[in-house]
Amino acid sequence: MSYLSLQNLRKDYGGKIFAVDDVSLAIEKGEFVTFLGPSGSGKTTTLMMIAGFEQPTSGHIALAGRAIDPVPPHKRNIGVVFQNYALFPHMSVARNVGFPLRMRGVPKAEIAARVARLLAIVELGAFADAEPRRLSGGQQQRVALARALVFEPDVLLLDEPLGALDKNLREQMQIEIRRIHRELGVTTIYVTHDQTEAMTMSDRIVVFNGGKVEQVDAPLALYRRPNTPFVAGFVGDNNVLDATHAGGGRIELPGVGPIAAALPSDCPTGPLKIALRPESIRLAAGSDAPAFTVQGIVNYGDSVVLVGALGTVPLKIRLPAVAASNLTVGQILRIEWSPDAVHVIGTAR
Amino acid sequence: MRPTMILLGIAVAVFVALPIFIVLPMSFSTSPSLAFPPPGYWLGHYAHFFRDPTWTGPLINSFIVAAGTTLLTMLLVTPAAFTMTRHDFRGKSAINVLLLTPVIVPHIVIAVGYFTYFAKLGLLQTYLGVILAHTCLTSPLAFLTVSAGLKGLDRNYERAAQSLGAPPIVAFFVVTLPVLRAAFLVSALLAFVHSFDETTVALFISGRDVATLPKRMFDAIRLQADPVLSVAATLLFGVVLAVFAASFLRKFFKAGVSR
Amino acid sequence: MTPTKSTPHRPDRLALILLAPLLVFLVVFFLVPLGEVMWMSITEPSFGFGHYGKVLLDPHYRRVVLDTLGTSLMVTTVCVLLAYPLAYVTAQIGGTIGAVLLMLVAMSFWTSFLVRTYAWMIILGNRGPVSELLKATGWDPPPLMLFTRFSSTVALTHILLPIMVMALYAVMRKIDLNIMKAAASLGATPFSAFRNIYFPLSAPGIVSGSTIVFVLCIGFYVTPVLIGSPREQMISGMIGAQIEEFLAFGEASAMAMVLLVVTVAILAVYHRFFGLDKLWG
Ligand SMILES: Nc1ncnc2c1ncn2[C@@H]1O[C@H](COP(=O)(O)OP(=O)(O)OP(=O)(O)O)[C@@H](O)[C@H]1O
Ligand SMILES: [Mg+2]
Repeated sequence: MSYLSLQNLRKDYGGKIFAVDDVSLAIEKGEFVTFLGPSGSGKTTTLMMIAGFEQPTSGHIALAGRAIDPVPPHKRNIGVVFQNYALFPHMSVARNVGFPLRMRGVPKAEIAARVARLLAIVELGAFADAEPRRLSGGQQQRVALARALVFEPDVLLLDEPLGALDKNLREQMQIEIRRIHRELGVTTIYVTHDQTEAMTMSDRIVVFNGGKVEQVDAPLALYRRPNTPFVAGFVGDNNVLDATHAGGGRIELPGVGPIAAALPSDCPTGPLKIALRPESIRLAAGSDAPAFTVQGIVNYGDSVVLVGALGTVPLKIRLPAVAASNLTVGQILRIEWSPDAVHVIGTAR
Repeated sequence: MRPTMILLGIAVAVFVALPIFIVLPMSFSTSPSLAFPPPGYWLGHYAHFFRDPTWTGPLINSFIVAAGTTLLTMLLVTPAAFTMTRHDFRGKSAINVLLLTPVIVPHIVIAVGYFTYFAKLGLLQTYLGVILAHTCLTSPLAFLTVSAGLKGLDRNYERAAQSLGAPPIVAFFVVTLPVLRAAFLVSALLAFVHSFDETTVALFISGRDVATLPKRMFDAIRLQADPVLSVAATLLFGVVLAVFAASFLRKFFKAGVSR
Repeated sequence: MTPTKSTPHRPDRLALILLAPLLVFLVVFFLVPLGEVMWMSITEPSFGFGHYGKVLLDPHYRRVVLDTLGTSLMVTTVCVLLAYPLAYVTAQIGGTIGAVLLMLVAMSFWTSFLVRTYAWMIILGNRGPVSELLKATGWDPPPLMLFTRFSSTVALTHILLPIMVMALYAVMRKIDLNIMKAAASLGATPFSAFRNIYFPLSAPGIVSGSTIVFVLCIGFYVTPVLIGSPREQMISGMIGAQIEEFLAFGEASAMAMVLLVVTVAILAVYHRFFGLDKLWG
């Protein structure tokens, strides 16, 4: 059995839909798992149920083989870092970090030593006596992290911990959090709605949508083989197209005709959805390749995104900047892609 | 338009403030009657006031009643405010109405009720009776103040404390209470001042034994108005002013220290 | 394991336990005595609705009710007229003047009714400053001002004025003065901009302030009893007198109930149109 397991968790706030709807997850010890999903998809609610602040309407949570449903938050031994840090304003940095140890009746001398060690890990040793509100956002973030880690929690939960920081600081803190995770090896669940953050930090990503889990996978697998149209569209830029499998490995786009695609052997026939990454499309040399009409050009500096249509099907293409000089709107281009680039959504490859 | 408004505003403010500045000098008047302006000044009325147990008694009674009321009010209102701000349940709006009724009912109406009800319970002319009645009257305002504080408090403070190992009760005393110090202080002050000033209900139920300062003043004004009253009035005014000055100075002092 | 209802570790019983003491307290020490008033009004000394008939029909009582309403209406009106410019200065002109004025209002608000009533007894007394002033201008002997409807109206106005100012201030503070500038840029004179834009925007403050002041005024006991005319009592004074002088609990209770019903009715109408939560700003 896995270290932390959620079984058929459901949370009903009395709204039209369940805030969390039948979520089951198995998380291994020491793993770094990210919850990724749009606003309102149930990430925080799931986290709050794990921490014990919300009771599931139904379902169970087990930690290290033990059901923790009846355990109140203060006895769960789970560290939480909140988006706005929730540092206690009336306590110094050291007293904030020492708080969980005082609650556990740890002897004074040991508290001092452990607080000093954690503050060293987050590189804030010099700020032990500072008032939290006098620290910068990134520093406050690190105090919150130290406070949630100092009592050696079984699990660390972070709810959009970098949401309030600017871009540079975010990247710095992402590296920092990964480093600390490597150093201490604590099982970590990290909530974000920033897919780049999820891709760069996690061992595995759990994609939430409308209270349900859409897919659980390693970052690259998630990127290459989205299981649902939602994941295909949410993780990275993508073209999600309606297509038909007539049988015999021939894929047709309505109004365009057959296209190059390498289908898995178990691919069912009939209508299906395919995903085609914009960056996997190239300009073709021959004149018999599919024709793409450019309707808009967005320049990103290092690359250019062309918005247009393949026949009647809307399509996005991302080209390296060098390949896309002197293109104009209205131009018709011939395009191609490797048959491997076509992913049939819902199949294994 | 603008200058006219300013002039009118100032004139009205003078009307608002002036009477207070009439009472203060009267308490130092040498005149045995209410002549204003006073023919001369001395501290004789103060000496008189503090030597007369029929005045000092009520003064002490008022402090006892106000302190008891403040304590009881905060003890009852704080947990209730927690439930009302943190939970949703059926009948909540009805309960909200009940909690606020004491501000809607005119004091004279409930005074009539207390007069007979407390007589039956043997609570007439007791500290406990006045404290119970005053707690009803002060609870809505204290409840609103505490609730406003709780609504403005980020729940994550308490959640953080609990996730770090603090049981809910400990989290309240170690985190919520200190963070919301200001809201609790203000609502306690409001309760204290309200009870210290309350006249109508105290008139009917405090009787002679536990007469509060306002009750004693009311009786004195009715009988014959002498300048010792001005001392009582000045004290009544002074206590309120002192309570607020104290809270203001505290803030001022703290701001100065942390700067 | 099957997806069953999970066991909540923090039952909502705790929420109830926290709320219950205050609820029980208010029921036992507020609602029950209030019910006692209602009960006495129909049972004291014997069962019947006679007291209500008397209170509502007897010309003497009707006079008291009408006097109370009349005085309260007068006080409310004067309060609006006086409070409006003061609130305007504090809310819109602000600066040092505004801050000082606001502080004076707050100070007055926090001064006991009793102290302020007493102050008016000095001011309007026959040896007070107003009398002396009138004497100096040749009006000798000066008119008796104390213990008249005039003195109670003045004192009540003075006592309730800060509340009106605060109600107006709460609304005016939220009015964006750029609207007035926009009106001016569209060609409105200052006066017409005030009349057509500022005044309507501040009207909710007038309504809620007036409601509070009127309701407080009809139930006011201390001031009218001490400073008003003994022959033109207000309802609350009458209730007090019935109890203290005549021990007529039935009649006093019936009057108290009428006062309560009128108060609740006014607040209910306000609630219907504006919502009670707006009443306190
Ligand atoms: N206390 C609550 N009462 C009622 N509904 C709630 C409550 N908390 C959350 N919800 C609803 O539950 C759903 C899931 O909310 P949740 O906060 O878990 O989303 P999220 O994925 O964390 O979103 P975000 O990225 O915006 O933080 C939303 O529709 C939200 O409106
Ligand atoms: Mg969230």
